[in-house]
Amino acid sequence: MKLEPGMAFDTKVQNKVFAFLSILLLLSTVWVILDDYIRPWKAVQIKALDIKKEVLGEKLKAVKASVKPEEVAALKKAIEAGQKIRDSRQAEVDALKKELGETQAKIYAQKIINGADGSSSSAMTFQWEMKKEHGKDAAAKKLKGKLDALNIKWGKGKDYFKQLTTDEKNVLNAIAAKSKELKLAQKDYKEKAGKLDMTQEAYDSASFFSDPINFLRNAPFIDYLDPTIKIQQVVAENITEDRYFKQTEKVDRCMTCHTFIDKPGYEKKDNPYKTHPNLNLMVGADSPHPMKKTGCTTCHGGEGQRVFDFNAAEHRPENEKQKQEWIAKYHYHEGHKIAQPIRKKSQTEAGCVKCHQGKEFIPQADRLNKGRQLVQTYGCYGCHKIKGWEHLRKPGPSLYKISSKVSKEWTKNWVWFPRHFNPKTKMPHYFNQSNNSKPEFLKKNVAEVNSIVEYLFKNSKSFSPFTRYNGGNADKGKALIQNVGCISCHQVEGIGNDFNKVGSKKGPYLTGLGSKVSGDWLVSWLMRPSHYQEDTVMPSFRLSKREASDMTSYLLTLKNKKFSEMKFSDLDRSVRDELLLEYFSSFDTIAVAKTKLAGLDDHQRTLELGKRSIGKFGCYSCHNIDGFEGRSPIGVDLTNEGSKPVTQLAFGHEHIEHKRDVWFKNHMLNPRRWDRGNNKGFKDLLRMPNFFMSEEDADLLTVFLLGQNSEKVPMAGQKNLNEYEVAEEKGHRVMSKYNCYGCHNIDGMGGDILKATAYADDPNEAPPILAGQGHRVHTDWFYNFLGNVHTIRPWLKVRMPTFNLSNEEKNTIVDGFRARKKLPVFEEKPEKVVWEPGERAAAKKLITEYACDSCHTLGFNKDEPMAPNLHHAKNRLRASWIEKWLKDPQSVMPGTTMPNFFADGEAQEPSILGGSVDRQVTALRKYIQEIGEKEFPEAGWYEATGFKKPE
Amino acid sequence: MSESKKSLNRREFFSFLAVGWITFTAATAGLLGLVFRFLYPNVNFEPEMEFIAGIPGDYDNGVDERWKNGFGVWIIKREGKLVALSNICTHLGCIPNWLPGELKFKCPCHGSGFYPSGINFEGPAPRPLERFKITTLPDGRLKIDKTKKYRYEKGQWNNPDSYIEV
Amino acid sequence: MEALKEFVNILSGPQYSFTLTLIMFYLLMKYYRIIGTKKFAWGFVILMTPVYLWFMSDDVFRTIIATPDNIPISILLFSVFFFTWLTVHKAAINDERIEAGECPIEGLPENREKVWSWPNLVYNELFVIIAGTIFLIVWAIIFKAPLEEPANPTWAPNPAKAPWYFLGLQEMLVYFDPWMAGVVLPVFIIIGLVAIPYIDTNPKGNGYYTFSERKMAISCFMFGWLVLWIFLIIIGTFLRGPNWTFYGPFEYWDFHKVVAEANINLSEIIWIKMLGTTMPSNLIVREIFGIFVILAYFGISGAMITKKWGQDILEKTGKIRYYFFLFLVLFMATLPIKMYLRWLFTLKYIVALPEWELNL
Repeated sequence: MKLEPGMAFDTKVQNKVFAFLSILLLLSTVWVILDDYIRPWKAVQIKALDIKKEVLGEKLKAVKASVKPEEVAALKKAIEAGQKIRDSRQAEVDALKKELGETQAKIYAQKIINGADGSSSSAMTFQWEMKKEHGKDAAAKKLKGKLDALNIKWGKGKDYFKQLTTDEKNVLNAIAAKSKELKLAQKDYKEKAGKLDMTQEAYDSASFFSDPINFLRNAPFIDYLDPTIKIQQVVAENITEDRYFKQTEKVDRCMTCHTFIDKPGYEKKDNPYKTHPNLNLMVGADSPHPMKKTGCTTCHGGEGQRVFDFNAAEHRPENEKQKQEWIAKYHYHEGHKIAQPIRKKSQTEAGCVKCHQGKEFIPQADRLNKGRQLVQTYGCYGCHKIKGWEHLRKPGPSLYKISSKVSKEWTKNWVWFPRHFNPKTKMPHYFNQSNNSKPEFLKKNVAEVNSIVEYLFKNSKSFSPFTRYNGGNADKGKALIQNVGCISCHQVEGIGNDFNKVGSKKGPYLTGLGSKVSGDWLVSWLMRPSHYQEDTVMPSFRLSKREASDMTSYLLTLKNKKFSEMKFSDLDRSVRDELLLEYFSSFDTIAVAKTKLAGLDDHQRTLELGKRSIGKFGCYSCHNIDGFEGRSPIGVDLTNEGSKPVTQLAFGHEHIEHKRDVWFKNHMLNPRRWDRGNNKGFKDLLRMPNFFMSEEDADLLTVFLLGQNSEKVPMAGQKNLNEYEVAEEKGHRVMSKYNCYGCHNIDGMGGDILKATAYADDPNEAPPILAGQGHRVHTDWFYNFLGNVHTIRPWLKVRMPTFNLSNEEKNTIVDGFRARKKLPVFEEKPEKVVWEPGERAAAKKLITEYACDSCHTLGFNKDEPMAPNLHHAKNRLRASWIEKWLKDPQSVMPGTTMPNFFADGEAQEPSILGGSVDRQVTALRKYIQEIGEKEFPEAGWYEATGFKKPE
Repeated sequence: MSESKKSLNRREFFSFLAVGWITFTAATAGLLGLVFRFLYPNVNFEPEMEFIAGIPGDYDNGVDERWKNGFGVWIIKREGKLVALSNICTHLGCIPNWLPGELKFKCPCHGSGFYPSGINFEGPAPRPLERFKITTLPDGRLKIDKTKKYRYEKGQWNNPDSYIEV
Repeated sequence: MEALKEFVNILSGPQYSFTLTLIMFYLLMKYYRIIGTKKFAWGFVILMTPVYLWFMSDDVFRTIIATPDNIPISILLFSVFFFTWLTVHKAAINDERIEAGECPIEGLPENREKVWSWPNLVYNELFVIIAGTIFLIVWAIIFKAPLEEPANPTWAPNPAKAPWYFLGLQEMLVYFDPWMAGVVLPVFIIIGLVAIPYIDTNPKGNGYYTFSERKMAISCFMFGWLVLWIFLIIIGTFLRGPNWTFYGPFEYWDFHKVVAEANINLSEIIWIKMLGTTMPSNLIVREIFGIFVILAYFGISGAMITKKWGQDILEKTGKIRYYFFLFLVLFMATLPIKMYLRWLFTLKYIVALPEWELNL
């Protein structure tokens, strides 16, 4: 088509292009508006309303079932009747209303008058005061006259006002009285069936579609005004987000999709509509971690501020199965470069640590606590420095005197592969692992082990047992081992599943001792462990020589024939020299190294290699070894291991997921695997030993490690231990060290010995349960007892041992118990008991009536005792506790054989002291205090009293 | 010429040019609207407008000031009713003080005075103090919702949500 | 297939791919008449499409190409290819016409006609605005902007890449001192571009496509544009991975890849390796060889070029313009020269004066 001059294009075509492009622009605008408006989380909230309706529906059904329809009809009829009565009185009501109107008008008018008068009076008063002050007496007097008159008028006005308001009130009451019946009927209805209405209304309005205005409120563009579908958020109090150079407030928006997380009633629904489990502990408004204060990401991690869809928050699947579910349901994929994604559910407790500092075991954090217990069991803290774990002693036994305990051959075979001797040992394995099993490496390791043992024995201090073993009765010994309390710390071969059920790992598994130690050594050890190792945790059971010999006799029967026949390869001197040259030439030339080597004789060389090897493998981290005092532990510092960048974890050539927790778990199952496929020289091989952990153990330890991170919480947001909790924790740590929990169940923790069937059947034969011990005993008695253990319960076969506690440790234990009950340190112990008239005689009568001495010995008879001696009670037991105990023993110690003489608040002897429980209990308590002895009993109590010690 | 013009008008009521401009304007309006919507935040960092205020038994007769600081509410128990009054003066928005010696709320800014019931009686305040919605939860605790206000002069003080009977 | 991919990986190494690019550039300049035909263009497209699809079938390649950040680069490259071809195509047509004695296409009377800017220009601009807006809106909806981790001043992302338009310069930083590659070179580029209207007084080629009439100017510019700027961006965007190590297009970006890159200065080569002495303490004496080389390069090659090819321009444009232009061209040539010196001799710096922040 021919164009006009000056036109390069056909306008008609241009117009078509314009229309086309504009339509495209409009379409893309609509698309972008929809893309901005339609958000996945909105669909979740709309569905949540349906879920709410479902739950309300169930509730409604329940309420409907409780209120019969006939009842409802009757109530409604009553309301109708009341209304009719009210209507019949309409004329009266109208008249009253007219009166009311008049009264109110008068009130209104009077209010104005009074107001004016009042302010005039105040002003005039002020003026008068001023005039008087400035000496203008005449004017003041005149003014006073005016003022008094005004005040009188005003007073009358106020009085009148009061009268009017009273009238008004009366009229209002009269009007209200006309509807009396109606109101009563309505109240009745509200009480009986009001819930039904409320629930019905809630049910009807629950869904999004129940109110058409919702469409307008949530429409595009105008939804900024007052939407119902909106983002919910919580700004956590005193908890911050770490942005490296700044701490910003933590804002969590998880509840936008997890709508009912803090509302009870949705426990059975699927996520995200589920109630949080354990609402009393977490998230509930009354819990210690209310949602509005703690937020969600504090514990769970994740991107709390992102709301867009399921992926935005960085959920992490627990396992492959869940991952596939999520891919199908939510198009799940991981985000990139996320600082801290949501922790896997099994690892959530790693989030507890940053706020709950200073406690060894965090209440109710089961997985974390198990992991922490494993750190103690396996002794990780020995090689790896962990802040807060420095107070623990070295996990392995001291090797200062090793030459006096075992033979060189035994030691070499042990160090090479401990499980050959003790299948349940906690000592990990360094040799013959996945990265050092090549023949050339084995040769070098053999040389190292030979040298190590040589070094250990050369530097071992000399020691002689203080007594000799002259034989014993193995059967009696076995029975003693079963009964006296060894099983609370040790598992022992041959004593039967019954007793090995306890599964204790505090002390080693006692097996093969006949092939390990001499009788002399063992008897000495059993009688006085601190003689061999001053700082040992193993206590003395105050065994007689005969008892110790019997036990030794049994233990020596446990032999390990295969192990004792093992012959460890001899030291290959050329390999040894080769290794030494490598060491010496680390910084010098080969020539210099050779010269240095030549300067050492044969034995010196072996010792030198031994010393170097101990340093290389880090044996000193777990064992006290002469010459290695003060050396830092060999392992990596784990204090912030949970925050270690993944790029710094050496995955080597292993094809596993590049995640921190995956690396940790695999590292613990086989620390040497990262060497696979490497061309490393002998001296660069990885050295962390193999602990033969189960997968469960590795998982728990992973939770522990993930909790060791560098997340910070401001002091105000942390759980700060108060003075009681600090003392409690200190006490707990000492008790953990000496494994008090092995025998005693202390306020719910420990007492595994009760698992052994012998005690499961009759807990009165077991070590006593210590519940509320801080309230029970006097602190000075307790302190004395810990240093002078004596028999309290003579019928027990199991024995409380004497521990090597320092004074400070004793104080800490005692104070820990006391602090747990938040009591003052001392409770009064009267020198002389003050009696009411007749009380003492009543007390003595009560003793007879209640037959206390049938179980408790009172010094009156010497029959077989079944309960503690009451002569000791005054010094031992706190008076307030005695009274509490007497009133209801079962509540203090469930399962006790002590009878309750005051059940249901009634004394069994109503004739004495008027049958008053309080008076009887007080009298008994006073009597017990009176008969209490002056001094604490000695350890040689049996001898002193002449009682038979049970066999 | 006019005939072709007529035929043009009949066939193409909406010329491409008209279509182009109408859709262009609509699209531009949509985009501007989106900008406008964007300027309003989707979440607000506001203080809590709802809170739990204990149980009715916690309060004695008279004015209770424990929720004044931080929550801006007086709890008044009188004549068998428990009421949550806003502490914002109805004159120009200052915070009155409760004077127990004179049994009145007195605003320091311009001297407005209110009875314990909240009714204004002196000073420039035009109307009584506002009540907040006060309800009981199923477990008996009081819940105060500051997003719902009740004004005496509109007769809203008869609304059962504005008081609790005790 | 694997062997072929390995071959491509090796061939993509900077030394080989740069050489290939130089060769292709030379061919473009020499055979532009053939390349500028529609037949060639279609043939190229038909040939390259299966090749491109084969490239895209590889997971690693796709991951790199399809990152939201890199998609514009692909679009850019397609545009560069297309517009280069278009230029050459139109230049070829015009050059043939000029050789035949006719005027170029733009000289035809119908193309010399004036038209109203409204609606011809302005209306079309509106179309472009709308189309651009649509493009950006759709782009923004489909490719969401990535949200990376919170900023951490103690941890640099790996690789830390500059915006795409500076990746050529970042690649230059491998071979040059940061002062040179980051400041001096860009300044000269800008000065050079600014100076073009003042240096270039040749009226030929104004307002119409041509190549034969402005061979040198176009070659110089296209060398700097295609070979130095665009190609280095390609390397910097697609072939540089973690630690700024080279990775072939099919090579997985293994964080642990180690490449030997020990470089040595000219002064070290001469003093220590060849002469066997220690480095002199006097700085000038130490670097005297490098200084000499630089001066010789500019002086001798400058003189040689002027004698052989430069007389013409010297006459036409005068001394100032000519020598300024010569300096810029010689300076531009130092880039490929230095790159080859690095690849062939592991040469680090010709003149190494870190004490004065001057390394050439």
